[in-house]
Amino acid sequence: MSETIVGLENLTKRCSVLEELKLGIARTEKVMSEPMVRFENVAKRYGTLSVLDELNLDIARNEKVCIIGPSGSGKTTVLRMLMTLERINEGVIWVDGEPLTHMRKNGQMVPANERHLRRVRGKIGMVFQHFNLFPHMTALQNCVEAPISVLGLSRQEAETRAAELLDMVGLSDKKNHFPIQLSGGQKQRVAIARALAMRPKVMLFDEVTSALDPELVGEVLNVIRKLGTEHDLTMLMVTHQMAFAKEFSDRVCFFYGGKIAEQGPPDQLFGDPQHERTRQFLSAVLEAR
Amino acid sequence: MSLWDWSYVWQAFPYLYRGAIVTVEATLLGFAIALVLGLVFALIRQSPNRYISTAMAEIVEFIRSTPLLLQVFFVYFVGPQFGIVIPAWTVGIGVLGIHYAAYCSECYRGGIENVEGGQWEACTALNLSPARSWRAIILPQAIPPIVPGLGNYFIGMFKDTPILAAIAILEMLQQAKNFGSDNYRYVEAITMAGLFYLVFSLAASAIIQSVSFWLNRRYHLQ
Amino acid sequence: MMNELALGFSVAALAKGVIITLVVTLASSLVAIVLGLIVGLIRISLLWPLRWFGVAYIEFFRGTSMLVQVYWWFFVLPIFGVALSPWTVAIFGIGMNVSGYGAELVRAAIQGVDRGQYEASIALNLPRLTAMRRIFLPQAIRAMLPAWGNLLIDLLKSTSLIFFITITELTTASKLAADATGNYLLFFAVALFGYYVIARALITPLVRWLERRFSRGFVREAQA
Repeated sequence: MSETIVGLENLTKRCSVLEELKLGIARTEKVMSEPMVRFENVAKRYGTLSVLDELNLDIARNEKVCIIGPSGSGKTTVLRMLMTLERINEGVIWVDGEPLTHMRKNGQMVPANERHLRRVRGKIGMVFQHFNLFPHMTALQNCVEAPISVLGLSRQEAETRAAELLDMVGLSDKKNHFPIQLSGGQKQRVAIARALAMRPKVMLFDEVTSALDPELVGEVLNVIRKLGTEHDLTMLMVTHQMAFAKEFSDRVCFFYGGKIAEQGPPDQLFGDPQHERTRQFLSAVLEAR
Repeated sequence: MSLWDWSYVWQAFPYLYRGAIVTVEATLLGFAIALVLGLVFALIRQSPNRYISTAMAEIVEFIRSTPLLLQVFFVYFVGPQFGIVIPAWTVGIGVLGIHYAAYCSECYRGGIENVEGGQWEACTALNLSPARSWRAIILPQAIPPIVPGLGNYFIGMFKDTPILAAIAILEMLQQAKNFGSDNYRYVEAITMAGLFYLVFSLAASAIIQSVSFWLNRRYHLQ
Repeated sequence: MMNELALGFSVAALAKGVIITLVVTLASSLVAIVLGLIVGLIRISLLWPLRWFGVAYIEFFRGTSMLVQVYWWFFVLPIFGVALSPWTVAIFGIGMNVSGYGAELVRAAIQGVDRGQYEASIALNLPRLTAMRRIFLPQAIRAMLPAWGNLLIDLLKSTSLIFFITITELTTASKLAADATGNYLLFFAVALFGYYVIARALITPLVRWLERRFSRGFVREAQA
């Protein structure tokens, strides 16, 4: 009798373990299917001027999304809002399953405080059009500053990792150079290494080749290409390099007048654009080349 | 003894009033000299003759790095040593003007050098005389942007006028101090003098801002 | 004979005046730099009470004449039972006055740091204080050094104002010597030259040296 009871107990235990396992798997599946970044009814205004209205955009894990569009269409604003450089006026931005711009308090969503922002923001890295390297620090110092003070790495560990990253972007011989001694393309590669050193899950590239001389564009794009294939990174990129967008991205979004006018796989968007504006934009861009 | 006694405020008023008139007069006259002389210094500095422009630069540098008080003493006391007696009032305003002319000339120079090189080339291409180029083309572009800078020197000069007390010019602060020593009571008079400086500075800087705004609009520089 | 003796005494007094001027300049510079930095940072604080205190401090010390402030410390405070020595008044009177201007330089330099630096600091998630200390301040210090050079020369010149509160610094010493000997040209010329030398051979090179030190990555390497 007692044996039966023990057996039964074991069985229930096993069952509950199994249940938990199932739950865990379901959770993982849910997490995997859940988008990495979600813009939910996001609106941005400057005074009465509406820059973006009702933006809804999901970006899957490891997805590479390129954003194109004429200037003033709000495409850079999308990245800047995600990096919390701009406040949003309406809606919620989600990152990795949790709200970025808001936090839960007593079951309600309230605007995020600094502490919440700092925690969630850590999942995002950004590379800027004008590099924004710290001019008083060498390439290596640029890459170790934040890992030491934010991630709490030891100097030695941070330097090892920074050296690896600089090696990856092909600048191991420039690590003790100051930004002013580097070419534009080299600066931008240091900026990429600096952002990667924070181990982000999402990388944002804001017109990263626009400030470069034409002959230096290739070296930066090569690094981004390499990142896309060798690392598990969700990448969101505003660019004017149509050929690169076509070859590199999983999806292209065309912004016009503060809205996504059209989006789809690059072959379709570049090959067979549906929207009149897209056609005009693409023909103007291709003509200029 | 109370900390603040209003009766002393009323008693000190005539003293401060007399002093304030002297202070404002000295500032206005001194600044008029500084504006004109400063422009002259700046134009001499632009001279194509290298010796003249270097000499001017050195003089400006020297005036700017020595104290106003000592310059006032120098002019006031060295003259009589050689039989030349200059009235204190003339010395005070003159030295104040020359001292700040050195500062203003640097300001003018910045404004002149900020005018695009292409403007000079256009003047040459249009065959304008140098005098006409300066008056009609270069200075109208050079001066409006430096009005705030010149204005700061105006306020600076105003706050430097108490130095004139050293050669027995009874400006406001000296009047306040005299009142204090006559009545063994300094708080009210000196605080009121300080307040007057503060109000004058704030008002002057507001006026300068609007003048600068108006000038920039007038010459379509903004 | 009498004249030579007077001349000898006067030269010694002048030398002492130079030393007093140097000491007061150095001490009040320290006061001005420390207070200027603190108030400048307070002026851009995120807390409005602090920010307003900063504004009031700057406007007060810049808006009222330095000599008014010195007189206030010197003649008014004793009435409240606080009697300060002329030295304290000189050093803090001048130092605090100049710190108002210095605070404004600090504020302008920090706010003048390129916006991109601020955005990069957010993107790297740097805490605000760390970003201030490691990113903005080093760049701001470099940018404001030339202006501080001019400010310290102004401070040097202002030390002549303590003539009015009976400390025998260089200007006072030269005046006394000139009065005693009747040779105004000689002593005033020597004193003027003395200030010029302190300004151009001491303060300017010192600030230039500091500029070079803080220009790591900006200038020296650019020339290399």
